[in-house]
Amino acid sequence: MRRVLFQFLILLFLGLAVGAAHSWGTTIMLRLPPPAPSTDGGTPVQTPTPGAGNLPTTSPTSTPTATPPSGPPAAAANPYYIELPEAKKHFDDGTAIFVDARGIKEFREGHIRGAMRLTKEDFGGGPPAKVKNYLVGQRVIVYCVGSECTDSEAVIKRLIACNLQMGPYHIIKDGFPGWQKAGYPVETGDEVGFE
Amino acid sequence: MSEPRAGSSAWSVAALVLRVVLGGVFIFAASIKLGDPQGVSEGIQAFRVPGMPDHLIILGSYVLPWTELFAGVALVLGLWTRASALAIAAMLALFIAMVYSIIAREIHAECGCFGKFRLLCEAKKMGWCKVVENSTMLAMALSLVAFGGGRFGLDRVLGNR
Repeated sequence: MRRVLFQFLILLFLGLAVGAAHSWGTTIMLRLPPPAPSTDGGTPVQTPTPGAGNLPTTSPTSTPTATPPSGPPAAAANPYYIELPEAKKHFDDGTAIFVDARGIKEFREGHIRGAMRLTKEDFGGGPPAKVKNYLVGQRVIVYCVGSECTDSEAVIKRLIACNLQMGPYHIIKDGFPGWQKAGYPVETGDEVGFE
Repeated sequence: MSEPRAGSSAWSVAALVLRVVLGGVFIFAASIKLGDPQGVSEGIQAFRVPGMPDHLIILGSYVLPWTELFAGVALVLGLWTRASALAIAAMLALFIAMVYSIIAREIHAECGCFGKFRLLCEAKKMGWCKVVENSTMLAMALSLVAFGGGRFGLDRVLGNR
């Protein structure tokens, strides 16, 4: 029995030692950094920030100020949230790419017209080609099923970690259900135009 | 019904199956987690453990999958079978407690267990099915702790008991 316990402790120690070594020099973003200031007509870009729950990163970073993108006080809980009318304005003006962070089944059943489907699982082997091809230099509005859902934040964390010239990022607070309920344009089926 | 004898042929075959299945599941889960430490950290955060420091979440995001991998490989090989089964049982007991706390607190959270893949329960969904799934694996692990890995393993070759 004593031998089993000793071997058990060795296994735990091995996991701890190799895990600690693996964590050295890599980056995990525990929470989103404050959003970059958004200026109309400019090319605002979000880059990873040290602190705010990040491990030190080897890439150079800027220090954006904590200015919410916009929106009424109700959305202040998460500075990335935007309300439906603002999202719709970007939709009408064509000033943002909409990203659906939900699963394939939900996407096919209905999504914001022209949205790109991009989930956190798509980043397994680095950023997908469509991120580089279509999101660089763009305002990105991500949505899932509302404020209870964390998939939008997860996708934005991975987009920021790509360290490409993207952003600013927003999350539709009410998600797809809110968009649909408001009677804004939706479509069904697979994504189109981001091959 | 008599309990299995640690060295019997029937138990050795059963233990081999248990070891390969259970160890294989943990190796698979570890390989997914090691490719996405960010996802593991989000999985840990989803449990909303009060007062859990950031550095513990970050450390756990790397330590958990590596421990799963070492224990899984050792179990499949039949090396330190009782100890590796004990490590897996300890992890499963922790997972069950965490999932139960999510259910009790009525928190909506996703399981980062096998990424987009599934075992018995719906992928990512945290609920009673996950408790049953983990409890089944816990029973498998505890039987290996109790009766050992049988004849077909490195423990037998190396003279470990």
